[in-house]
Amino acid sequence: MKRILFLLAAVVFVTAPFFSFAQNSASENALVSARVISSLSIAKNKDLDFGKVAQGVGAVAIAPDNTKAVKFTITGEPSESIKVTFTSPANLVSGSNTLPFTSNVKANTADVVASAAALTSGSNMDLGSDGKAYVYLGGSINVGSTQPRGSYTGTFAINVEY
Amino acid sequence: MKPMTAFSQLAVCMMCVGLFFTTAQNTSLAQQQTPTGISANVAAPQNLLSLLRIQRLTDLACGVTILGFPKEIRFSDAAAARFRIIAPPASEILVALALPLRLLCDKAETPLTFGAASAAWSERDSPSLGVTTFNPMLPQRLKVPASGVIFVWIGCSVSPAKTLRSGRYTALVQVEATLMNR
Repeated sequence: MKRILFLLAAVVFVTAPFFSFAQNSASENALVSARVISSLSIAKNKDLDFGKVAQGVGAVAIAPDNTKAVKFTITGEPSESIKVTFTSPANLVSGSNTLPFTSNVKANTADVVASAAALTSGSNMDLGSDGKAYVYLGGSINVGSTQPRGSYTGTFAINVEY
Repeated sequence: MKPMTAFSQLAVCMMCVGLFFTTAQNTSLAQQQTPTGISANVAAPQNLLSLLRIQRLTDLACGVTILGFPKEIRFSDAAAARFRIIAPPASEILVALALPLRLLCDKAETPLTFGAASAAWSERDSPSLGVTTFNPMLPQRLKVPASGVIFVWIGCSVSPAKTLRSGRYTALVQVEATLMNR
């Protein structure tokens, strides 16, 4: 009995390390991370309307700081850089008749048009600390004496992206 | 009951010591297999560490993710997690991953998912050459090549809800390898 007990003890003592050796394992971690930011949105306050313009008046302009100008409000992640692109119609159209149009675009991060700077399509700018930026759209038309009468329209398209 | 002889006492003592080592090492292994987010191979003896090692080469960086827009990181992307497993050549290892279900930012959370082909392994350090894709949610039994090195890549998908708040969201993914035929 003593020998059996001793033998059993010896077997356990000698083989114990090998049981763990057979299950040798290792592990390691990696960090998964994502910087989640607000989506972008843009909203206009009105359309650009030159109103009634008589034939032969010549150049009519609406400056970006004019109350008739359009204000686009961009909302997104505070202080994040954005790219602003836009396409402006070369002409306003009424049926087959056209009226040349030139846009005048300015932008800033404070809702004060007086401090806005000229903006060209494809420019980058940073959103303000409140996550806002503003784009102001004015423009000009030139109505000659032979310009056919009618209602002329065009579409100014603006896009923002991070 | 008869008192134990010195011989019996020695035998019992040896058994206790043997059982102690077995229990202690099995306990450390159990801790390793629990996805606590803490690397737990410190309990393995030094000579065993040289047989099987895992090194994290890159973290899984989802980068800028916009609220309301899901984003996928493929295993072949540079942003994927990358590990190097070093094991005895021609041995077999079982690779198991502990995957988080969500990324956390304070008390906010966003779902994190892994597809059936979100992970891949290869004996070469290139996710575009001769890789074998696998489901990271299932353990993989791999044959270690002659080089003794296996690379593992892991991608994921993150889907932040529109109503989530902005911030840096994080979690841990754990890779565990077990030597099978030693």
